[in-house]
Amino acid sequence: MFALLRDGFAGDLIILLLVSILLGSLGASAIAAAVDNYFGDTVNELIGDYGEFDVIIHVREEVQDAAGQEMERIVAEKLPGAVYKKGLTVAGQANFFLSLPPELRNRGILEGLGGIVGDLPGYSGLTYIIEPAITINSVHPGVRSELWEKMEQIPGVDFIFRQGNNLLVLLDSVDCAPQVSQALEELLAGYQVLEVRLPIGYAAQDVEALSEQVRAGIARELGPRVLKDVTFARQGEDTQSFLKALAEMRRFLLSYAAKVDIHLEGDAPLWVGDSVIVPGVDDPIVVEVTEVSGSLARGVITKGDLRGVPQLVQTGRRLLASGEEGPEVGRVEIRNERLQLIQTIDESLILVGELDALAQEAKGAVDNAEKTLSTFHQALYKLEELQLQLQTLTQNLQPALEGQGTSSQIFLSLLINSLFKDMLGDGGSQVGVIGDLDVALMRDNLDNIAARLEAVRQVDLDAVIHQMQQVRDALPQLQEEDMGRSVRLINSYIAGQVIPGEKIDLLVDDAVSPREAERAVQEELDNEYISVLSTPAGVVRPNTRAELFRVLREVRGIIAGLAAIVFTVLTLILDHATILSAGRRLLAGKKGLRRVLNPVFVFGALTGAALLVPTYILSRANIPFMGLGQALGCGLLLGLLTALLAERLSPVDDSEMLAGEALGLTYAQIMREIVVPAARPGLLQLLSRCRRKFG
Amino acid sequence: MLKLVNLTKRYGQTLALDGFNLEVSPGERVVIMGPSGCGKSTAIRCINRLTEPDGGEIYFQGLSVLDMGHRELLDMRKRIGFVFQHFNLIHRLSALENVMFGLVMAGMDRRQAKEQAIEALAKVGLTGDLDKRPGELSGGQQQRVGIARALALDPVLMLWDEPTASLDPILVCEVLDVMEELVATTQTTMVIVTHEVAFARRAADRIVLMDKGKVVEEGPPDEVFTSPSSEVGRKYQRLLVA
Ligand SMILES: Nc1ncnc2c1ncn2[C@@H]1O[C@H](COP(=O)(O)OP(=O)(O)OP(=O)(O)O)[C@@H](O)[C@H]1O
Ligand SMILES: [Mg+2]
Repeated sequence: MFALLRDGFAGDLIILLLVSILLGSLGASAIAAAVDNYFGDTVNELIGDYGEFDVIIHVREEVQDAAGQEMERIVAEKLPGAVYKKGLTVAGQANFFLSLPPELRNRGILEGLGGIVGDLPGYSGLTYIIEPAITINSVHPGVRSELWEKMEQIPGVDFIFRQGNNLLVLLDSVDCAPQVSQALEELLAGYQVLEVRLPIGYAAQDVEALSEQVRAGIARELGPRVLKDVTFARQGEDTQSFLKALAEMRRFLLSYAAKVDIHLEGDAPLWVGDSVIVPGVDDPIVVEVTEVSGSLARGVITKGDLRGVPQLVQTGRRLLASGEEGPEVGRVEIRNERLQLIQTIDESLILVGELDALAQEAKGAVDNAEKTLSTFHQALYKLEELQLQLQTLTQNLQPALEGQGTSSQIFLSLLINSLFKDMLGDGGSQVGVIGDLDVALMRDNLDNIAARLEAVRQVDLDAVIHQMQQVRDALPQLQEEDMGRSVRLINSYIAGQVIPGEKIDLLVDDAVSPREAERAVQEELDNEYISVLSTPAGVVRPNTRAELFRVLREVRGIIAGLAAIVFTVLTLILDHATILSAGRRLLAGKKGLRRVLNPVFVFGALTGAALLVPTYILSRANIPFMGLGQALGCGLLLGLLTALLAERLSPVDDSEMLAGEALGLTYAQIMREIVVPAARPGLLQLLSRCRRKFG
Repeated sequence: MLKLVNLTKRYGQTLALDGFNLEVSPGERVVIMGPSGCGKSTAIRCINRLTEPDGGEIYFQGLSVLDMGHRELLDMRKRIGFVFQHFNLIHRLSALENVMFGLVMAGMDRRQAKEQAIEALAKVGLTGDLDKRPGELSGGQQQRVGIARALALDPVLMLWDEPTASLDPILVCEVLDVMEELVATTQTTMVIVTHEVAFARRAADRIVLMDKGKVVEEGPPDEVFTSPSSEVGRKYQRLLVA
């Protein structure tokens, strides 16, 4: 076969290949460009020219007229200066294109647009096509605020607004897009979100504590620059505060619920979740175990009530699943915390009520100090007692003061604090020494105290009393079992929400290796089934338009690729099949024609590859999953196929060739003068016409 | 001037040539005869390597044909005229062009080639219809164009592979007349494969009888046809008598 290339036919062939490739590439490019243009125009028609509109508002097709009228009203009232146009209706959706005037192009309007146009009849969503902009996809909510400021400082960034989990970064001009895009990518690359996945069924009672432990482990082992728990953030901010409120509610309920201590005595161990039954006042009380440590277990009442009894100590028995009583588990001690608190408040209410009169009395009886003093002493003594109790209470409520507690909690804390301040100045220190005061010193201080008491009188005690009464009344009137159940309910809800699939999200810097973090966490929690995955803090995406044009480019590439293949096939059939067919005939029975690797097939395959690969490259073709390697394979295959079918694709006249050979013609002459002119019209025929001597 | 020694050629299972020997002197007219499929065409095509033999030796004007390079082979072919059974004319070319073709391809000036072609065509009795395509000519005319094409190159050796076998009887005479004329008027060495016993007897210096890929008998026509020593020879004798 390769002998065919002698006598100058190789030159013909090379010219043919070059021209084929050139024409093929041009043709493929032209077809692709035509398609590209067509789609490009369609896209322009669909979403307007670059920067012409900012938002597409989608409305259901059937109500588009009504929506149009409403749109007019909304624009006039709420978006003065904005322009809108009704665009094409696609897939059952009418589209309104909205263009905002410069003064409305701001974060507030853009983020609030959904609310503004949300009342349109048939409203089904918004698409931002505002330009020039860069979209950052799936920004982890926990990272958002952290990154927001830094992003706004990037030169070229105008402002940023949020759309769901995406951030749209508006630019000063389209020219800074590449730089800003790069800066954003670099910024995001500095962070990663580690998902600490706890194995299913991992008994995580206190997520916060667990997270803290995990973070401690990572901090110790890896010392990251950034380390922040963003688990809650994943839920969105509203859910997050709701969950926090729930957690506070649980704490609140637990601080008033009866405290149950179970001193274990039996052999059978008690597990969290087991139930213990205790003979109550009237009905038996059922306790669910929430905590077990050594021989002490704690729990909450899930059935029955203390009925005003301050404390109850009984022998508890295990409550079997069948509902029957099982063996004894130990001594169960139940303290009615709520009752104690109510009593305390009742007492303080009386005291506060007396305070006014007391102060007056004290002031008017400075001379009768000793008497007064003892009375006062007694009162203060009681106050001290109250203070101690209140201090315990405050400690219970301290977290509520820091976090967003329920209103009643906040109120309670405020009340108690102001009470101390007003009554006792700097708090307990003075009260603490009262018992040890000698009367002389006391007298010296009496004026002082009287003055303070005068100040107390200035306080609107009625209001204080009123509020305290409200608290007392507001203290849960729930039965113990209701509180226990509420706590259980909250527990299950929080547990389900806080760690869906039981995971903790941590924001860390990019220097942290997820693998090492995984090892650190596994060691810290002593559990080898914990896995840590790294996800990006956000992904910079080209804008909508760029995205569309990227898709168009892809389509262009595919079409160019298909055209390149079609062109190759055409050239192979029209031109190379003839050459291969002639080659097969000319060389049939000749020496050197090996059977195993038929040179005609090799030649055909090489030709196919030599055609397709350069055409594929030059026409900038890009078919998914078809790189150069695949193109090469495809070319080889097409060429081989052509060689196999050559004689059927382009039959050559044996007898004419034989005559040519007998006349002592070279292969090149036979090809040019005999084979090609008789074959199908193709590029080869066109090219060899000028080199032909006859015809 | 031509010597074929112990040629063999195999087509798969078929042994087309099985130790074929032939020697031809300058100016000699050798007629090869034999039953269909005995390897006549194969043998004659081996001479200018239109068919590559598997083994043996070929000498033309003292040169080993099988050892020739590509160029030498092409040169040699130009000195050997070949007439095919099926004429093998180039369909897209006119009668004249077909005859000119070899000359022009060999590098001859077009006008000179035309003159020489017309001359060759005249030798085979064709003076009109020169612009017609082969498809527009009768079989006899076509074969005469084929002969003219071979003659035009002024060959030292002419090979004929059953030039009349695909013609109807009337046209056979037309071609045979041309052939006899050529035999009579030229000195060209010829190797002719034919079944025309009468022609062979008149024109041949020597008859070579083939069977199953080898020569079974050879000698002057009178000897071969009157007292054949081979089975094939006796068959031809009977044919001649009839
Ligand atoms: N190209 C080929 N491929 C396979 N077999 C072939 C080929 N050419 C010839 N043969 C076989 O070789 C043998 C000799 O053929 P060849 O054509 O030389 O015979 P021939 O004497 O010329 O016969 P005919 O008088 O029919 O022309 C025959 O059996 C033929 O079938
Ligand atoms: Mg034959």
